[in-house]
Amino acid sequence: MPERNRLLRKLTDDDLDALFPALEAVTLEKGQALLVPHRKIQYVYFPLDCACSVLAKTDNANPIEVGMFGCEGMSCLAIRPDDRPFFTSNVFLPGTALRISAERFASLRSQLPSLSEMVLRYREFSAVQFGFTAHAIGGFTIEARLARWLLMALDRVDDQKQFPVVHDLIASLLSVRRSGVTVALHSIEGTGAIKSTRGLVLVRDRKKLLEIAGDCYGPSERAYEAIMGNQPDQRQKNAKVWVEC
Amino acid sequence: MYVKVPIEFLAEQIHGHGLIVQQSREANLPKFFLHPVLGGHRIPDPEGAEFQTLEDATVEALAAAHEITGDALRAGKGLVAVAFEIADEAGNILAMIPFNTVLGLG
Repeated sequence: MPERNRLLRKLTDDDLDALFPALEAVTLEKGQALLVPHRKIQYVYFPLDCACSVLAKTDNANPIEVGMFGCEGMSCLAIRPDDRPFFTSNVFLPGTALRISAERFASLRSQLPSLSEMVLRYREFSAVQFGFTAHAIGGFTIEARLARWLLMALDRVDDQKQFPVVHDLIASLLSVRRSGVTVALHSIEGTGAIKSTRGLVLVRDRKKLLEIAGDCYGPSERAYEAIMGNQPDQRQKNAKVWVEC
Repeated sequence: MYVKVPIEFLAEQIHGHGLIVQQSREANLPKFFLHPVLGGHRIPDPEGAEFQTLEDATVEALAAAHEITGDALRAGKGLVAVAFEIADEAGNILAMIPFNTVLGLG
């Protein structure tokens, strides 16, 4: 079933039953801003088959992607209802998500222990992911970082093998020049790992991408399993979520 | 009839409603294609980008050449000869930025 959210799948049956009526299925468009720094959070999103960037932005410097989320998690890391985000979150691969108003989420979270637990765990995972993004930016080539980025995007839309992305978008997320992406994509394509055409990247060989990314990809993905994984998988019970929306 | 609205105001409205935010962009800027040439091998730029002038495109190509060179050097790949070919939408080559220029050797 392509429509799924791994975080929601970790909730207990009772908690999901309580949360489910408050969730609304929405379509997220490319470029849509889910969180804007210092602005009130209106909705909390649980992506099903879209992928979003977390960007560090300042007034006078180029933004850079510090994290990515999709079907493995959620949009909002704020704890208190009045918390304001410091990062920007934008959709880069459009698709569907379940959303809940931030107020409703805050009140439900305090009543639903497994939701509260999973949100806390996801926060911890996000800190790890942001840290390993710094590790990637500081210690790896554009090519390795691009391979990591493609693998991360692939993890979030895994029934598709191709992304409608232009070089300009990838360049702005990695905070490199567009031509750097052109060169790196060309080089990765030379290994047979991907096929890159205008506005589209097709992943042909994930193993080769893993080789190119090296240690740049993997640590935060293993951390996800370690941090989020110790909860019974509620897939069977939760299957109704995907059917009903 | 049109009402002139400041772009910041529009952005604020759009942010507030979680709608799509797009960079304002001047209409009908010419598109330039920056084809990197690495060690004599030309890599096609399939998408191109908009610039006000050829000079702006040249500045971008030079900055990109520096970045690509720096990335290769940092990775221990040695000095890669990076040059650029700048073309228009019809494919006409408008400028060549040779490796020496990238290195600042004239």
